[in-house]
Amino acid sequence: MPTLSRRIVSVACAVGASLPLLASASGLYRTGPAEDVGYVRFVNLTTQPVSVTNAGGQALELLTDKPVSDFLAAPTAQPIRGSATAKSGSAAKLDLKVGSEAFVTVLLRGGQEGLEAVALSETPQDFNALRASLALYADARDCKNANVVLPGTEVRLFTPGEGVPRRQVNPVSLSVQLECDGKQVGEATAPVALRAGGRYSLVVRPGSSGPSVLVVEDAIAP
Amino acid sequence: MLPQVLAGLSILVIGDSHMASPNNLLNPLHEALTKQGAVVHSIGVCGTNPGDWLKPTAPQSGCQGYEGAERIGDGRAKVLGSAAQTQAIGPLLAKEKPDVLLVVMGDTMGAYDRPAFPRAWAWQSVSALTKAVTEAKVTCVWVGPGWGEEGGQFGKTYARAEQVSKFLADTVSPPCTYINSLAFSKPGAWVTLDGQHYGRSGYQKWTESIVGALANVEAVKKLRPR
Repeated sequence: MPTLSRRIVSVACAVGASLPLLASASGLYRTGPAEDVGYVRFVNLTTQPVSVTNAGGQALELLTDKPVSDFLAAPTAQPIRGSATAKSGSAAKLDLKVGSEAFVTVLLRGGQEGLEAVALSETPQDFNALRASLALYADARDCKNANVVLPGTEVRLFTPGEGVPRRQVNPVSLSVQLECDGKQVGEATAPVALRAGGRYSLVVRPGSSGPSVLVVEDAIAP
Repeated sequence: MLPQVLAGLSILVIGDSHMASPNNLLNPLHEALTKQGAVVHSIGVCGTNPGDWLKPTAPQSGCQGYEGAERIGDGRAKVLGSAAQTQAIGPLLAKEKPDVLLVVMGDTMGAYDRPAFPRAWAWQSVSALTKAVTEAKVTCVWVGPGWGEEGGQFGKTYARAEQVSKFLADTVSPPCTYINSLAFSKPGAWVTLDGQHYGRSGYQKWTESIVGALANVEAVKKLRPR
């Protein structure tokens, strides 16, 4: 009888809804990511387009006017293998191990034997919605003891040390002057309005008239 | 008696498993806010993180039987069952235009079974939701997790609860005002069923503390009901 069935179902639902939440012996659900994950991005420091291809054949194009990719989620259980190939045909093998929570930036630069891939890794901890975060990425062959100063001052933003230097700053309009081995190089960058909560990379790129700084807002691909 | 700060305000409450069952936080909080004169829409989906509210996302499979619940205004709470899913926050805020978005999330990010708290992963999830909140220009208040009890089935510890709460305090504000639930009680004071989810008494105490704190949020005090 439809009416009696509906009544029984609605009573059962009401009883079920009034029971407190009960957990199973193994816990109800996961509190955290399904698997350990790191992130990897590629930066084209050459003067020609570069194509990055993974072991599965998927390609990412890095053009000269958009040389920095978003950070891509990467598995940590096995290495990432592939290759980077410049338009000229020069290629570099990729064989990267990405640690849990690590952010790996692969600088693709021209070397003595053609295209090179230089991996720089950091594990940032400074996530903050009120301040901006800055990191400096440089290959010592392009700029030894790289640092940046506020233009017109000797205020150095980074403290020399191991690994990729990173610091928090107030979200202001920022222009920086590159310094290599204590000497200022090139022109100051155009001002960039830093966003509260934004994360930025200052990437030193080689050039025919000397190294310069590329200012990039870091992004993780959705 | 609380001043009638919340009277006439529309409040959209979204949350994780604490809001996913009528007899967890959903009913007590919804009713307490309504009693203050607010018009409330509450939605909870079990096992969800902030980033899961960017597009419709189902609860985790481990939530079977307690998937989600919703309650609108003076209506009764509805247990969503297998139909439970989050609602994309952008369109939801655009449609409802609440005066206040109240977010109750944090425990599902705790990674209580792992040795280290995954800050980058959590940042990505939190910042996805706060970006949408900023774009919607809605007054946002975020309630972080309480202490729970150590030794429970989720592996929650007081040290990790503090880490998660500090992380949320640093990363949700702005645009949200952060309410630190750890300030409402001492560790282990509210009895839980599993180290994470409270019994009736715990949820009642949490409700009272949340409503009191919400009425003292400067951004909420400045609001005038539409």
